[in-house]
Amino acid sequence: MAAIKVHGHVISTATQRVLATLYERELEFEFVAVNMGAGEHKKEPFISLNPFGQLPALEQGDLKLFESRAITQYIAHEYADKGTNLICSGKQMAILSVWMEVEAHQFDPAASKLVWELLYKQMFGMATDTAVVEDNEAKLAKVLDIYESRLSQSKYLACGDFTLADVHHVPNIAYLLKTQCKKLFDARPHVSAWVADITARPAWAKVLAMQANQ
Amino acid sequence: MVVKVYGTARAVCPQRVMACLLEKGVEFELVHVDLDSGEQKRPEFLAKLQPFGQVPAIEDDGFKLFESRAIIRYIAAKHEDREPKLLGETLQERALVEQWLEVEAHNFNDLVYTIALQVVILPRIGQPGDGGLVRAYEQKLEKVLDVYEQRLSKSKFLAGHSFTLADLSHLPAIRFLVNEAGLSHLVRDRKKLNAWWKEISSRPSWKKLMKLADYPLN
Repeated sequence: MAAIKVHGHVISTATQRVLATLYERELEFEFVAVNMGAGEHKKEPFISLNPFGQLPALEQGDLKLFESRAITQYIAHEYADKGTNLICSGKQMAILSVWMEVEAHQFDPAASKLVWELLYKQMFGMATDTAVVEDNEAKLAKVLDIYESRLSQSKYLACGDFTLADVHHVPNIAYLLKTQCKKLFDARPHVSAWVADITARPAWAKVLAMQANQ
Repeated sequence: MVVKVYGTARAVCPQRVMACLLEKGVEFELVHVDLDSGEQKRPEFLAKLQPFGQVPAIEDDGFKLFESRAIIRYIAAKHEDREPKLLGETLQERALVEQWLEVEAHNFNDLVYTIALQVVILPRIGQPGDGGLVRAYEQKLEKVLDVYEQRLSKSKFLAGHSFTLADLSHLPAIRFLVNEAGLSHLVRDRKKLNAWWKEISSRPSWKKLMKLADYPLN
């Protein structure tokens, strides 16, 4: 099979989502760093890989894919027999699907706004909007209450095993743990245990190593 | 046993699910949830059907599911052997279906939702919508739909040469844009997008849903 190339940036949560999945599956890949500062992601040749000008994109032979959650699903299914399982079968697949959607539609909107305000803006020397932070912390707290309930019945979000539904959360959670939002996770025992578990995985350590080496 | 769909016939996310059920010829019963009185936020609904207090949710012979895009994937996979093939045939085709489903969810949906909030939802609860926000989001949508136009000039449907979940997922929100939102020019002004919209909205199952929802004929 042709080699996998990932185009992205190590600080981008969406890129990290894909990298974590590749490491979980123990796959070899080539990482092509995209210079966001120079606006490389909004021009050719990158725009041909993702017409929306967003990171990451994946290339494998003739196959070109974008949207991190479509890429992780492709990787998880294509290499079903390698590394950590990450997916389910039968009706369990539908439950996995539910929690991937929950991450995308309930968790990510608030979480990514908080990461933007509390971390990325600092990195770029911009001022944090405290009203946005307050508003999204409240939203995230409500979502995490539901997670607390779910995780008191199930070791991981979709089932008893670590799956894509959990991986998809790691990049935003890891960033939020570095901010005042850490308390939201610490205050909920099952969420806290789950967070400790999913951020301690060797595959995630490899993603962090990539960040450290940049 | 028929599938139970909890929601209303005129809400976007339940429509996404019903369109899929109709495409696959799966019988269902729509169980009305009174959104105007906040039935979906009450403890019983939260505990039994959907913990985030949203519609739709389904019950398929005792198996419960929520999140419309998870539900359509489940239905499409469950009835994979039945036409139309909504998930592509190969893994690579499936990956492209997933890609454009993600585009709908992350690049398209939030823009339409913000407009819907201002134009329909807020006025319904007696609050003024923000016209400036509508215009700003309209501009963002223009840029996103330019990408769709580009894609559809190379490909008959979003994921390839056949109608898939990727196209289906867009039906309810585009119907809204072209009608209540008064933004039909977004579609009309783009040749390929317009042709694609005419094609997918003329499908018999979509027409059935329009009748179910009791929309006036246009």
